[in-house]
Order: sequence, then structure tokens, then C-alpha cells
Amino acid sequence: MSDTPLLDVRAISKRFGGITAIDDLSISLFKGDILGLVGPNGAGKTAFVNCVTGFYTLSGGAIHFDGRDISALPLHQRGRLGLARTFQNIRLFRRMTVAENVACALRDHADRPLRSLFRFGGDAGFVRAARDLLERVRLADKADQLAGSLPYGEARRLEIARALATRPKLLLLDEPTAGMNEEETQELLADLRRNADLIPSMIVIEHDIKFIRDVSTRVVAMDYGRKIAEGSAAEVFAHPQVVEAYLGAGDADV
Amino acid sequence: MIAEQIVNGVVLGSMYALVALGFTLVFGVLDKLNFALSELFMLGGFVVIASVGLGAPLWLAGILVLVVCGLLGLVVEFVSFRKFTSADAQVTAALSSLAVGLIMIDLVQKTWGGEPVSVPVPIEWRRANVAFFGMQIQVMKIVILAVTLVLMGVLHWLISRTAMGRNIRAVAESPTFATLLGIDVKRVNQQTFFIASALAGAGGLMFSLRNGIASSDIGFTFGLKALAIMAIGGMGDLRGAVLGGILVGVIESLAIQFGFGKLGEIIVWALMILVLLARPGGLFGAAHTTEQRA
Repeated sequence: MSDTPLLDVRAISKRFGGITAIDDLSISLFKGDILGLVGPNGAGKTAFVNCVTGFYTLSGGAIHFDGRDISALPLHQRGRLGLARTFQNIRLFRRMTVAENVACALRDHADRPLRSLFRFGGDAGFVRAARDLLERVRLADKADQLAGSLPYGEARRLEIARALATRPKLLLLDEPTAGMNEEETQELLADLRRNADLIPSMIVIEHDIKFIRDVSTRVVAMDYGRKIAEGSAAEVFAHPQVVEAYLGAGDADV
Repeated sequence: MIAEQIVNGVVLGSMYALVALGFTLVFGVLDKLNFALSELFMLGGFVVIASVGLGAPLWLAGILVLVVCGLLGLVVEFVSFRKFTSADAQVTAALSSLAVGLIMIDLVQKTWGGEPVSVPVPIEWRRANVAFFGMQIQVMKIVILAVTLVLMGVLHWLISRTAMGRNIRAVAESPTFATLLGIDVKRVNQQTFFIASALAGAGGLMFSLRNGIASSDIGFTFGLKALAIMAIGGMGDLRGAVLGGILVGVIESLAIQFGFGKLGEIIVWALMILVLLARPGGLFGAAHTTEQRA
């Protein structure tokens, strides 16, 4: 762990017209951290991910990543700096095969513009690398199926494999277990643990408290676009404001 | 006679298909219409004339058509599409590409005049026939079909088997998520325009070889038919463009055979209207129009 955080979110806010989605939020995360982000629906968790990954432009504040101000950088440049994410509603290239989905995200690190303007060959290496990643998430036998045909749990694993293919420094998972049963959730947890070598740091949004307890090194709770608690999972889930926020939202499984 | 007309129809249809493939490639990737493709088709014949005039053999002239039209496609991308990225700029970009096409017509007319110009293909080439199941078929038509098939084969390979094709398909499904994964969408757009324009030029090359002339006023009607074929086959669907092209080519040729003459064209438009009424997404492309793009 170094002194400068990998991700340094400094007092950001995001407003849509009169609605404030994020209000003066500061979060920092160091290399190796796995940050659990919790809060009731509408607390601004996904908005936070959208701000960090560049889907939203900030209304105020600044975001530094890997020692660099990325507040004004467009989506694709943030991706290239090492930010990767998955979506609450799984986003795959449904009309492409499972292997192609991963291969798409593998970058040619040489990236010479003229040579790669028409790169006809050289595809075998991509396909091999894609299969290695699929092996890691137990999807190797599905490599040639259309991604659109995968059942939910497998589609989620493919989405994660595709994010890992970009070699992220920070992976953001937005409700990865949404819609999964207990068994699938445990499998996903095992998958993440098994591939920890490819996930230097991670932010996980989840409603599944047990999952958050199991996976995170640190937890931040949000409500109404603000941070209401921060610390270990035990501390945060015992925090009166967090308990109240969850109970207030009718979500009593704390 | 009917069999011969069907062959003629397939030859005509394969030219339609080349231009329709261009339209549908660009539409698939950008959701925008590139009207300049009509005139790049028209330009194909004139590039042959210019190349042969400069002393190039016919095979080299053919390759030059692909390269020159492809490069002009990059210009069209830069001038008419690069700036217009938002979804509501569809009309702006299409109009701009239409204007670029009109400039191409003007430049051709300034250079070669408004009358059709003959393409320097040896007359024996065009007269040569082979017997095929009792039919006399011009060798030229067989060459046209063979070259078209090769081009379609190469296109299929590029799109389905190469990293470039994979990126093109990714951007076609979702430019946003392709971007997020680090795919250079600008480069993918350029590649798409190059390929689409080269295909349209190749269509024009075939057309001028078959007719023995190049004419500055053929682009508009031919391009409109290719657009209709794209709609019939399904917007953004490559297979639909090829099959739709051949379907329309054959129907048009048979219409002429049965004495409808120029009215045969009405059948094309009526077919498009009927197909779209029955299947608004086209014969193959229902998925593309209903799926949400982000």
C-alpha cells in the first residue's frame, strides 16, 4: 500500500436538474482494497460508479485515478487507464460468441495506429488468451456459443471475464449477484477469489450483506447521495445511521 | 429464355448486393445512411476509365477502383460523419453525405461531360460466350459473378474471422460498450467506411463492365434501389443485403422478360413496401431494429 490512493474521489457531486444524486462525496481507495459500497435503493451507488467510469460528467469535485485527474476524461480513455466495470443489467455483445466477447476487450498493447488500421491476421493469439480467461471463470466449454444464449449466472461470469480482459487496475462491480440464488452467489464469490491475481482492487455494490462481509476489506455506506458511514463491515453494519437507512427503506435483512 | 433472364437477374442482383452491403455495413455500425455510396458506385466506372487511360491493365484498374473508392470513403467519413456523433444527427450526416455525392457527380461531369463514356474493354471480351446447360452466357457475366462472389467471401471472412471484423460487430451492437472496453470506435468507423465504399465502387466497376459504359447519372436510381434492398433484407444485415439484392435483380429481370419493361422497377418498390408492411424489420433484420442500442 502506497501513500497516494489508487482512486481518490474528492468531494464530487452530481445533479440532474433539481435532483441531487451525489452530494459532496469523498471516497479513497488504495491498491489492494476491496471496497464494499452499500446503501438503500436510490442512495447514489450506481451514480457513483457512473461518475468514476465516465458515464456521467461531474457537477462538482474531482476524481483522481492512479495519480492523475480523470474528471474530464472521456469513457474510453478511462477504460485504457485501467478502470473496468460490470453493469446491474448485464451488458454483453449478445450476437457475438462468448470467446469473441472476451477477445474484443483484449487490447493489442502495441497499438500502432497505421499497422492496426487493417490488421487482417494475428487473431490466433487473441483467441487463445480469450480461452484462458474463459477457463478461469468456468466458461471454456461455452466459448463458441452466442453470448445472448447464456443463462443469467454464466452471463454475469462472462461479463466479469470480459472486464478482466481489459487488465483493469480497478474493477467496479455493480450488483453482481442481483437475481442470483444463494448457490450462484457462492460460486461467484469463489470465482472472484480464484481470480484475485487479476483483480488488484475492486469496488463492489451489493444489497447482499453477507456477500459484502465476505468479500470486502472496507465498507462505505451511502444514503441520499452522501457517505453516512465508513469502516470495517462490522462497524458499518452496526452504525445507527446505516441501520436506520436500511430499516427506513423497508429492507430489514441487516 | 427464362433461365437466361434468371442468370441476368443474378448478375444484376449481385451488383445491387455490393452497394446494399455498403449501405448496410455503415448503417449497422453508425445507424446512419451514407448517401455518398450511390455516387461512389457511379464513380467505380470512371476510375476504370481513368486508370486504363493512364495505361493500367484492366486487373490493376479493378484494384485501383477498390483503393480509390475506399479512400474517398475515408474522406466522406471525415467530412460528413465524424462530427455528427449524437443519435439525432442522423439526418444532418445523411444530408451532408448526399451533398458530397452531388459534388462527385459535378466533378465527373466537369471532367468527362454529361454523356455516358465508353469503358475501354475489348469488344471481343464483351461478345465472348460460353454454352452452359444449353444457354449462351457472356463470359463477362461469369467474370462479374465470380469477382462478386470472391468479394463477398472476403467480406464474410473479414467480418466473422478477424479482429477488425470482431471490433466492427462490437461497435455495431453497442458503440458505448465497445468504447468502454477500449475499442477505438473512430478507427472502426474508418474501416467500415473504407470497406463499404470499396464495395460500392466494385459494384460500379461490374456495372460498367457489363454495360460497356460509365455514366454520371446512374448513381441515384441504383443507390435508391440498393437502399430499398437494404430495407428488404433488414437494416444492418449482411446476409439480407446479398439475398435481397439477388431477389430484386431476378424479379426485375423476369419483369422485363414478361414484357413489363421499365415498369419492372415498380415491382421493386412495391416489393419493398409489401415486405416492410409484413415484416417492418426486413426479411432478416428484425432483431436489429427491436434491440435497444446504448
